[in-house]
Amino acid sequence: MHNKKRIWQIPWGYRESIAIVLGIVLVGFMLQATIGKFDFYLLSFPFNLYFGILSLAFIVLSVLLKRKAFFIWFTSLSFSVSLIGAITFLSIIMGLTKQVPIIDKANIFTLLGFNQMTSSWAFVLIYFLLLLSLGSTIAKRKPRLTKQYLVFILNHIGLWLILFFAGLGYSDLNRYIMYVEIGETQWRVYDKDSKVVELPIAIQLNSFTIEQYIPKLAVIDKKTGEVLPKDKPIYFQIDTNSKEEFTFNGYKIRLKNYIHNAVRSSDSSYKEVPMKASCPAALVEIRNNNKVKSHWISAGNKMQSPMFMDIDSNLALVMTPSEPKSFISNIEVYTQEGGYYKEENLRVNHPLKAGSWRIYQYGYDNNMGKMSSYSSFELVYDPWLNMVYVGIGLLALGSLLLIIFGKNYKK
Amino acid sequence: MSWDSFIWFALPSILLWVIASLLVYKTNYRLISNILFLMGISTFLLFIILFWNHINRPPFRTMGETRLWYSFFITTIGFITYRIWKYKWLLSYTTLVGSVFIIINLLKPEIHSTNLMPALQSSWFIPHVTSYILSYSMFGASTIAAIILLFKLRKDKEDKELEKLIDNLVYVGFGFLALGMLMGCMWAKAAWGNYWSWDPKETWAFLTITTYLAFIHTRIQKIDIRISLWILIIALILLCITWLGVSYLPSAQGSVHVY
Repeated sequence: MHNKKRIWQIPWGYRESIAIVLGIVLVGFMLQATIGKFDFYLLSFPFNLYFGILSLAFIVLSVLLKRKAFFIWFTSLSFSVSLIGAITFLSIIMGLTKQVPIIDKANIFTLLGFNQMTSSWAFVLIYFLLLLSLGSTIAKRKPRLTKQYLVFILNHIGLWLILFFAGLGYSDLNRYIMYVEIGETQWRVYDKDSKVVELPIAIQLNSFTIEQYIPKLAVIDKKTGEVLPKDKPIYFQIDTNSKEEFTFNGYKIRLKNYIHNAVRSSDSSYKEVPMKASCPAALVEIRNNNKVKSHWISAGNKMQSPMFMDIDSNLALVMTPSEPKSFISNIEVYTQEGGYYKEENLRVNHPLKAGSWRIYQYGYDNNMGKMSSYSSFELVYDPWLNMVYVGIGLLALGSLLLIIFGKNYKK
Repeated sequence: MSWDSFIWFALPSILLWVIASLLVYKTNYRLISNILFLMGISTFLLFIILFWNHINRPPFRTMGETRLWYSFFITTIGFITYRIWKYKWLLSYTTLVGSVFIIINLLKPEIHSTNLMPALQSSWFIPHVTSYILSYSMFGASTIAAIILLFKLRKDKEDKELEKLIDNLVYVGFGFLALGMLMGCMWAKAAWGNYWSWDPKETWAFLTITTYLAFIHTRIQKIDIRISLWILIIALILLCITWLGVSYLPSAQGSVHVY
């Protein structure tokens, strides 16, 4: 006789898993609506440590009681897929609503935490359930010397480490922006309430340089200043190695000379001077019906006025302002514990590691460009970062094995 | 070897790849096909080496140079993946995508006119994008196979081989997707100080990957395969939104992935 299993009758499957996960999401929404968003600073050190130990204790308990119906269900695929489904569902909401740091107008969506999804109770509860279920599942599985187990363990432990240390470590993560004048040493920053904070780390800025891309030429309408042709503006890249000419409305424009670090030396000429106030300048020649004229042009900067060239009564040839190619700080770093670090080439994508701190090139005085008198840095303190990297490494290895092995069918 | 000579290496490479990806369908010409494809890759690599030597710096700086590497890595990794998995269409696919990047470079060589902003000047840029392109191809192919299987199941025809193909394609694609994402994390950490910041594109990438995770886990269970196949189709739709659609979402204005 075939007996259809009724809901809540063990063993639990999808119906029970989905019901429980939905219930937890609803509890999350209710908590959100009544007590507001989850405060991550509840989990700052040492509370995250206690919570971490409790999670590990739970996982150990799950192994000891792995034959109990509850833990069989808790580490089952049905429950995992339901949790994955819930986190996907919450992420879709997050992907469709604009995430904001501060809510200015309350409505039903903000009440449920949709605009701050990652700190909403529903998201946090599902995240930690996932962490516990994943941990128990890893611990339950018997180690074997098989490809299948290797792929399983690398991917699952990798993911667990990332979720564990990124989630629990989040409240220990601090980031600050520090502004340092050239030649000075700074250890004070503003926190998010604009209060001055003294950090246990100081940065000495020895020098700051900006490298710029070689600019372009463009023809503009003298009355409106618009780059022509209006519907599809043409920018001609200056290239000293190329003999290519720039043709516009029958005018042939040719580059005769280019100086990257130029300073105006008379009313109408430039010479090379490698100083901060210099800017790119080009000597160009325009030919039209046997008429030839040459002129220096430059986009100028804060110290030098721009120079353009009349083509006719309506058109003028101009140079585009230089775009930054890289900005580089030469710094020395001192920590309170007596640490000393030095980096002559601190630039975007190349941070400096100083103990648990990482220092990033952040910005400079955009108005002054090359003449900026300061450089700014982002300082990130993340004591758990290395553990997240271990997780990323394991997961990357696991992914590589997925590519090589595919799905391992039992023969 | 300057950029002017590119065409003399690019066209022979494309030709070799096209012939190889046609010959692969003829049983007796597999070996020749492999040799020709490798010759195409070598010709292309030779240009990169000579060009590198000519410009006296690593060619990673401009958009045009970046495309050189896409063509090289997509064909190379595509070929290796083909050798492991023996999916013949993979050679045609990598030939197509590799050639598209070459043709763009021939028609619109942005060798000095495109200035990469500092955040984009990273050694993670090329592997990050290459890995994603390869994963898209696997997921695209697996979804086509899933649709075919759904039609077959409608007529009550089972096809265990097709099931295996779908599973393997998804595993390989998932590997590339996860690698691409992890490399993105490393890059983001170096550029912005965060390995993950729930930027809208990241959120969409995350929910795409979790949907593929759901597929993989439902396939381990003995549940109706049609449910899994539908998850796969939904996953590809989400993937396309992540790839192309995020820029248009009102929730994504200000994303670091929108330029």
